[in-house]
Amino acid sequence: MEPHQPLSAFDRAFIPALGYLAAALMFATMLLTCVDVVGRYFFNKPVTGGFELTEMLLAALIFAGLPLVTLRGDHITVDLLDPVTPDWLFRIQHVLASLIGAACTGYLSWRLWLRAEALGRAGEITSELHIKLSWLTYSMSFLMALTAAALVVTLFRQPLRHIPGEGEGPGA
Amino acid sequence: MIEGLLGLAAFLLLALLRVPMAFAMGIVGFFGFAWKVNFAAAAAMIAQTTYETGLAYTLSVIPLFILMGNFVVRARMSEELYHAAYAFLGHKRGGLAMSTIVACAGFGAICGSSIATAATFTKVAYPPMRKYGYKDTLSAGAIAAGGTLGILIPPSTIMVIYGIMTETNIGKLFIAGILPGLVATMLLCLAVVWMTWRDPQAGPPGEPSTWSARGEAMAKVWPVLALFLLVIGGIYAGWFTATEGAGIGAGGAFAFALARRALTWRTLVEILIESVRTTSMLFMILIGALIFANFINYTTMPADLKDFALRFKDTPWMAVAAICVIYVVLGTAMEELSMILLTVPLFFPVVTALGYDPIWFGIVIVIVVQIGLISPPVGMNIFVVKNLLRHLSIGTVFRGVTPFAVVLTLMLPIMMLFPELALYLPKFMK
Repeated sequence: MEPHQPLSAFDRAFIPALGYLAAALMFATMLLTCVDVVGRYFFNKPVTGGFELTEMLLAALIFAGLPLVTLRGDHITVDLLDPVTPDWLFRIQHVLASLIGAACTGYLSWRLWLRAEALGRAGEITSELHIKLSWLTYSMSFLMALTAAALVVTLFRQPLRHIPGEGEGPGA
Repeated sequence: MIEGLLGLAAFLLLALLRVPMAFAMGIVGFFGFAWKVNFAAAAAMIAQTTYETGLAYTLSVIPLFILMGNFVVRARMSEELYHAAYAFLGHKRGGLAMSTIVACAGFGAICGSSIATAATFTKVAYPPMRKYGYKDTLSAGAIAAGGTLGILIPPSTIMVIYGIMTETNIGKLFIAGILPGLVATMLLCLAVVWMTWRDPQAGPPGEPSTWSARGEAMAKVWPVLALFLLVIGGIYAGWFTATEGAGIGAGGAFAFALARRALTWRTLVEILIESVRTTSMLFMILIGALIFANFINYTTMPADLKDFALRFKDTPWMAVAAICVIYVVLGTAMEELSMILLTVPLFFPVVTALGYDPIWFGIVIVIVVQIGLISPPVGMNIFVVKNLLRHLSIGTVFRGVTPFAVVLTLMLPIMMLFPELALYLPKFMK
């Protein structure tokens, strides 16, 4: 959240809220799995709908994290040539990559929206808790759209040359 | 075959233009699929893949193991591990470097990330090595290489991803990593012995410990042992699945971090958000790779590769050796996660058609990733150590890791000669 970056109001509006949402979802996933396992083995009573709740929590936390990853420029990128790329080319690459990314996530957001509408029309609900799947899919679509917006925001920003190994890597 | 190769070329071009990997794979997969089938099907396919990957129960294993690792790092269990290893090995020549590697192995038993392991031990093990006058090449090399044990010794993020992509049992993959993990630990220690034999000044011995001090140090590592036995033991014994084990592990690590007063409200939120970010990043690239694989599976490429490989039916080890060579070469320049996501869908059918066990191949994949992580010029662990120790030159770290990378490469022929190393323990699982 550098103060000099343009459109930092966008960061202020979304980063804290999404961060707390993501944290809550992550903690809930952990708690749910633990309670489910302990309940099943020691009390012979698993959490009702634990399976589908875990699935929905997982989807929600992945998509809530996407705008955060994007705003920090944490997507995995080939940065092998960064040290030898001249500044003008680097700027062009940054604009192109942001535009392509925004197009991808924007399109995907729209496809997910269509899917949510279809799920809503079909009245799809989860088997145990009867939660409407369209709600979840609308949220996925919304968060994907927010990711696209975040990519557009980063378009106007000074690109950061990637310092290899800075921050955490993927999962390796 | 041609369209598959074109797709790969288009991906490489986009990636070199600095388009994030996930999008590069997704775009090529989408347009390739639209070309092979039709546009409407491609549009439906990407939404379907995204939706299903997000809502896959078994995949919740990923954020949970990441969370467990982050709690374990914060709970500072690494220090006790290092002290215990030091108590037994510290007085030998190169003993502090060996202690680092053994402690990394121990840490790997509760943390599934090699980057987190390397970062943790840079903080824990480098200062004592510097104090005893260790050469920076040896210290940096031992930490970067020891860190890679994080993914060979279960739990392991790479095994989880391989298991998901190939529908191989993740629990069995974990157990299969134990014996190769011990062998790799010994090999890395031998590399230290060799380096300090050539240059005794590189790693002078530390102070010897008494047996009572050793006992005390060992007694302090019980939380690590308890977590490992609970999670990996539980998976091995069939008490729970890998996903449930991950949840229990995260909960257990949370409890330890809490009991050690290592958590404030603020750090807890930070750990949770960091785990989500890593998860999202991983899923993004996973979804991209799955879209790409959907396209590749519509081309003749997998079948062509299989036909080609089946010519080596009588000497299947040659095909596998060739694949290993390709991986070691690719691993020097490519980011390892993208490398396996891109290539495993191509090589997996080949290797299994030649009669190799999917679990065995999974361990081989982990080993090539380990080698890639410490082979110059692009190796994530090298950069992690270098960034935490800014006074070191990148050349020093390169020189330091090279002997370890060579030794780890020996693991590949070892695995080919003794596949039972990976396959013996999982036999006893249901």
